[in-house]
Amino acid sequence: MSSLFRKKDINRLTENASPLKRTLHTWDLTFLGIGAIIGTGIFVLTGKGALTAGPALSVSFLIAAICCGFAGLCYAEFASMAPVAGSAYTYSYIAFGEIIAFIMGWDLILEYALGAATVSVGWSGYFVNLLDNMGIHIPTALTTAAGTTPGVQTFFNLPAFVIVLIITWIISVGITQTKRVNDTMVIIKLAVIVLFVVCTVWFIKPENWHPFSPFGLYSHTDGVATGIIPAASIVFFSFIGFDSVSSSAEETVNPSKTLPRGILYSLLISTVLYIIMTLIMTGVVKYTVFSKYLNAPILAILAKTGQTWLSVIVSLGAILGMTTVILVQLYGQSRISYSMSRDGLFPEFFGHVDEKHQTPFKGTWFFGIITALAAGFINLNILSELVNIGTLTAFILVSAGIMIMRRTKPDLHRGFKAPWVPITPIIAIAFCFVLIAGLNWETWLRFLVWLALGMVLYFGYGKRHADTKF
Amino acid sequence: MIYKSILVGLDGSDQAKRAFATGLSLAKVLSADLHIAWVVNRDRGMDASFGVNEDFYHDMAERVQQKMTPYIKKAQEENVNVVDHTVVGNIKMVLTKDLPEENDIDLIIVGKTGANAVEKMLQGSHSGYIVSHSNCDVLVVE
Repeated sequence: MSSLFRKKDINRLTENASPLKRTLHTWDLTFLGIGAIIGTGIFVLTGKGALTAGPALSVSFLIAAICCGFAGLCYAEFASMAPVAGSAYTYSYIAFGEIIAFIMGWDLILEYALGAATVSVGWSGYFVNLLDNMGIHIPTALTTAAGTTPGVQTFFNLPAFVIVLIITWIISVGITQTKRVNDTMVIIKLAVIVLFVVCTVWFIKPENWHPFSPFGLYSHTDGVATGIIPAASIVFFSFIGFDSVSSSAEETVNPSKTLPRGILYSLLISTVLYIIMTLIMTGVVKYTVFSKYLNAPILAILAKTGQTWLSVIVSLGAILGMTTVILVQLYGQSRISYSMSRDGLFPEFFGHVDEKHQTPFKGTWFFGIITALAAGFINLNILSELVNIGTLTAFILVSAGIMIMRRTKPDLHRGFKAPWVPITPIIAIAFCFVLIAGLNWETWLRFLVWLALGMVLYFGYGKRHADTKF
Repeated sequence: MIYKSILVGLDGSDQAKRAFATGLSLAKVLSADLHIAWVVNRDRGMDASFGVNEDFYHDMAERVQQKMTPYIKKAQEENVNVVDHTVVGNIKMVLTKDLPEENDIDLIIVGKTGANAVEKMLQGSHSGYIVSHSNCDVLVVE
């Protein structure tokens, strides 16, 4: 993995002269992808997914994975177009110009901030369980946001609020984690999942799998979208992060072959793991039980099997793994708003770099506090759906983008070309629309409000200030 | 042993400034090359998907490049052959392995770590790491 410590010289960055060393092979990419995918969604959103589709949730995972596969190929081409590494925001700026770039950046902010909030809610679920096992009880009203568990009065998710603030502080003073720590966390998460599978598979009662698909493909139950497609829209969250493979085209040996394989294998392996997990979870308990374990669904199984020791290990593993995810997402968040500020699309406040810590200190705290409040007050269902609609929209923009770019700039350098264009991006876009359709209408509305806010900011501030930067 | 290539790690701290002063006078006395390096720390464990951090590293490297100018000037005034390196990478790896190997460094001079207790717990001390992992002589300046 030493290649992953590669450094980049300033001159190389500015001149774009010498390309990165190509050192990543199929299995490096596969590990990279699995590491980025596994371990958050499965710990947090399987409960909500099972409530939405029943045991057929396993099929939902497959649908979400197919969507990610096609979108991943488009992402890879998009990322390989620019000779310098950058973000989807940067590329949109090069490819489509300012306003789409702004929408993309605004979208990524939503994805990272609420993604971190979602994960911290799950973190809190496992943390509260761990404390319970140690005999420490936090008042139930302060363990989760209002409206999470039906029939239980809750008000505020204190642990989630606090962990986001702690991690914000860590980032703001410039502390980072090395690749090795990150890799260790990936292995811990995988180990916890394998241990869980081995220990609980024996408790499956096949009658729990009947009916397999209680809500069909798409239906409405009590005013909420239910069925396989809506569940796919929810567990789509479990695959977010796989696009880290896509951005590695310039570091990959023979990318036209290696990259699709890396994307395919990492999606395949994680999907198989997810399906096994889902079948166990819906096999050990009736899927309806998860309504009481929304934030920490795996604990529903361990409460049923009575393996308290295992629930301690799983909680510890989940807490460790999720801490790094929150860290990385909040970090990415602060850097996106930094980039936008530097281009004049955001106030200078967000681009101000603190002399002592060498970090965008103010911007980090601004969004850190908003994220902490979101994690404390908004329930998991709302948070995760918003993250998903944001990410799906980004996928659509990118997929449409590579089709347009093939027309408008056919001669542009591309380190990787997606196969079967325009079929691949069209399939990706179609799947994204299906998954967006599977979300609840309230989510569409909230997302439109978010976009409208963005437009107000853009036309009220960004448009004018970006002029001066050109 | 006569040192031929001396590497000094800079970060703007007072300790690092003293390390630079020491390196400069040593390089002058020994007629050695003086390599000065300022690393923009980048831990690959923080790279969220799809390169969102690139702009930030890039800008930081540019700022560092500017901050290096007075050091380069000072060394040139003393007629010392000075080579500057602005590198984006993992501080520990760059200072212990990458730069020394690429430039045949035989002495590394760094300031004592200015990290507080929490940072030390989470990241360890940079100077401590360099002392125990480097293949050449290391001088830690108080």
